Amino acid sequence: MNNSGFLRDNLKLRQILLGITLWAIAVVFMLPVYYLIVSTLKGAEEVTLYPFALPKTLNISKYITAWNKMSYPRAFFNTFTITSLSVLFSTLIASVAAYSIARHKSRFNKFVFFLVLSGIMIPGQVSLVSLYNIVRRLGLMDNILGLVVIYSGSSTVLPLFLIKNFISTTIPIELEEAAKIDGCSLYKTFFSIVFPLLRPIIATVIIITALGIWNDYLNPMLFLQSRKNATILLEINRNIGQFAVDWSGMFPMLVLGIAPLSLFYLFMQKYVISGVVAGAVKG
Amino acid sequence: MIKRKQLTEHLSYTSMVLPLLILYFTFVIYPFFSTIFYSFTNYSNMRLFDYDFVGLKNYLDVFQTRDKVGAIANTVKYAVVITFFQTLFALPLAAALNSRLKTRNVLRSIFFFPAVLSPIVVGYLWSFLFSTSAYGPINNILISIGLPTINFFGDPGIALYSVIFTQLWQWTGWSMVIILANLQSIPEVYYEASKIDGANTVQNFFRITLPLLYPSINVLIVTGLVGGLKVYDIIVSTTRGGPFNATSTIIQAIINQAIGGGLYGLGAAFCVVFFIIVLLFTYLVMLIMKKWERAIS
Repeated sequence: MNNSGFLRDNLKLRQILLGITLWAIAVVFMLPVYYLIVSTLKGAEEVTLYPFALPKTLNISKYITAWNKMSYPRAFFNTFTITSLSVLFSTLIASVAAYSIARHKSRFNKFVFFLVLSGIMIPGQVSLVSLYNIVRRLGLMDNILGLVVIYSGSSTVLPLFLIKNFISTTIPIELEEAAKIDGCSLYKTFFSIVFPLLRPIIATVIIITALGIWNDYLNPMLFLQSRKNATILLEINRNIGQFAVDWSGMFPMLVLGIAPLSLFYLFMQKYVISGVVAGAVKG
Repeated sequence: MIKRKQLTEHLSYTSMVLPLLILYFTFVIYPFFSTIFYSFTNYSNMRLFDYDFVGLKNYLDVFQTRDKVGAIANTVKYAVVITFFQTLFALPLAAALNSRLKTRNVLRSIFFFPAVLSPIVVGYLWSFLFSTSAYGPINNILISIGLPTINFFGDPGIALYSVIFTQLWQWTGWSMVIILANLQSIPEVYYEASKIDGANTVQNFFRITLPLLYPSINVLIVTGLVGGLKVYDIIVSTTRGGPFNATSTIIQAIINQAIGGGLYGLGAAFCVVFFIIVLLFTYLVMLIMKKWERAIS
């Protein structure tokens, strides 16, 4: 009796020590982010003298300057438009194709699937130089919709796999057969019966694709030149590249830059983490 | 009648694949093959239409110029080092978070957080933290405890490792989450059985946990290496390839020299070399991991 009570206490003690250690690591781990945020609210002198203290007064004037300098509303709108349209198109295109490949095993479909399968081995960066020239020749340069088209083509691979897998393994074919007997067209069957059942996998696909496109710097950098089309990351790079010495002006820009996704993460962390895991393990 | 119905169905199914096929062909397949084609030409912004075949000249250029070979070496070093440490740090972290801690979900979310940020932002944040100016907090701490300052991103000897450090901060939580998902799928029964056999924690880890973590470690090593070879954003926001090309990477060199300089043929050859390196690494990893898989099964 006594002995097992001691063991339980010992186990509990170990749990507490583990908890304290992990929280200590977590605090040190998050210090850079904490430091970034408190520094934006302090004056330059306060930042140097009391780097880790909370700000004495809340001074948001630096945010207003940063907001204006990076034309934040426009940059946000551009990033949002590019991400949401690309996610919408690539998910639609991928799920329709995934349905066809899962249900209709024609030679053509097998070929398309094989083609996409082998394309997984090609990192997008390999084709940078010719992609750049193709985009220029198609007249899609410096065009937000052009970038949407590029993303819709290049970020359909993982969605196609995940959705095809999901349809083959979890959607019962009987529902579709019943609809077919009732005279539903293929598209109608897909959109009214199958698509609603895909919700869990579509959520995963949307999260992975949206994170990737929102945080992409390379494609906007190559394909959007004029300032009116700039995304948040392009604005950050442009402003900080210019005023690299003005640290105090740069911090609010970084905070404004990470704010949208951080808020999204705050509310959706469970889905973001499980989505990323599903995408990484099955991809 | 039945034949016609089958045909319309077949056409209907085929039409569903077409949008994907057209876009995928235009923006993935075709650019890939035209890259290989251009790599044998002197295509450039001065010769947009009247380019000629130059054989292997571009490839010789890639392997004979010091800055390009240096970029390849940096990239490979970066990919190997980051993959190794990312997995090494993530393992104990995931094991610790797999315990019955009440706050483990909050902790998991905290450690994963940097993974939702862009490396562009992370890079600028760390270039400030590592700064040698009067503001740089890390160097200020070093001074206050009587140590010399370190020029993290400015010293060619350590710049690449400083970049790697920022990326370990950003991606270790991501790796941890993948291992953790794998750990949670290991049935408790195994540990109960080994407890009866009198195994200790260390034996448990090497005999049960590690072999069963094969799937997630495989994912981490492949994605870590391939992702590492593609490194670009973090270089832009920390060192821009400097000092003295000490942190210049393949993609960064391709963009600066080929696209920036208009030397498309040369850039295409460098792209093909990059592709071969990625293939080689993937193949090697698969070979090693297959061996491990055979050893544990």
